[in-house]
Amino acid sequence: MIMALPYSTKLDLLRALLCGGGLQEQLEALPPAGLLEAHRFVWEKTVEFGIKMRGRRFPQEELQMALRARGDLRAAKGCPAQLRQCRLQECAEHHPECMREAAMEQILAMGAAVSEYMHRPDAL
Amino acid sequence: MQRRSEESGIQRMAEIVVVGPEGDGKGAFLHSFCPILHETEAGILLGEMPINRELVLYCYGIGYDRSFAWDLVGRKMLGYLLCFNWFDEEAYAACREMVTFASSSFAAPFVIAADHGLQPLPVPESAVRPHIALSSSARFLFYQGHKPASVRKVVTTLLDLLLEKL
Repeated sequence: MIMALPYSTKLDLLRALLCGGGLQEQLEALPPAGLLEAHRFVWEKTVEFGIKMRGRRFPQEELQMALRARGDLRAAKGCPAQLRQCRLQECAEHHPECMREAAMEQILAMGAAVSEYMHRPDAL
Repeated sequence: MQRRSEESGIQRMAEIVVVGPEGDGKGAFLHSFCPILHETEAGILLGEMPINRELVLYCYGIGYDRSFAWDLVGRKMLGYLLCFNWFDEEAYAACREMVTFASSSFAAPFVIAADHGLQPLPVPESAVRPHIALSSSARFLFYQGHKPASVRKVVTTLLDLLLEKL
């Protein structure tokens, strides 16, 4: 399930990341495939902003692990596909509602991380 | 594209389109890098930037409307710039609509430029400099419309993008 994210959506997501708000409204309007692409785009921008703001102190692996932990916790609570790990891509077709919730949760967490990098660039 | 030059025969032309809000903002924008500026009867601004005797960069300045002869210019333009005021929701919505139209109609690289005017940048400068990539052929950056050097950075961002595509 692949869908190229329209530039207008990328612009909306970027604007929401830079404004520090409005991300959820943008995500709610997206279909499952769009949400996966939004996840990928926001991840790329989160890493980009993290590196620009914190340089070598940017904890990319920690962020990745924190997102994975959120997914795993979600899977442990009751994954409809009986998976131990949350896999957004695999569930986009058969469990779109669960995938939507999980993807949105992770994207909003990334948005919060971007806000932290912007406003507390020196924090560890 | 090429045309006859008065002196040396063939003159090459390169064209870019600058899409921005109605008003005199586009004139100032174009004047920041085009020494020669005309306004057509249809209200389209045309800036000329002679590179040398044989090459001229033409820049069309138009508003957020589709009545511009996109069908004539769209396919041959090198790239385009889409400008809006970062703090103006209406301008953002209009620019967003043009992004949708132009990116789905033409393959040319483009730059979306958000003017923050006299107000400070909404985020730390280091986070958004020199620009933010939206894809391999699209960039986003902030600029200040009243500063010619800042406008020229928008234009050089597009020119850099064109060079990267060679």
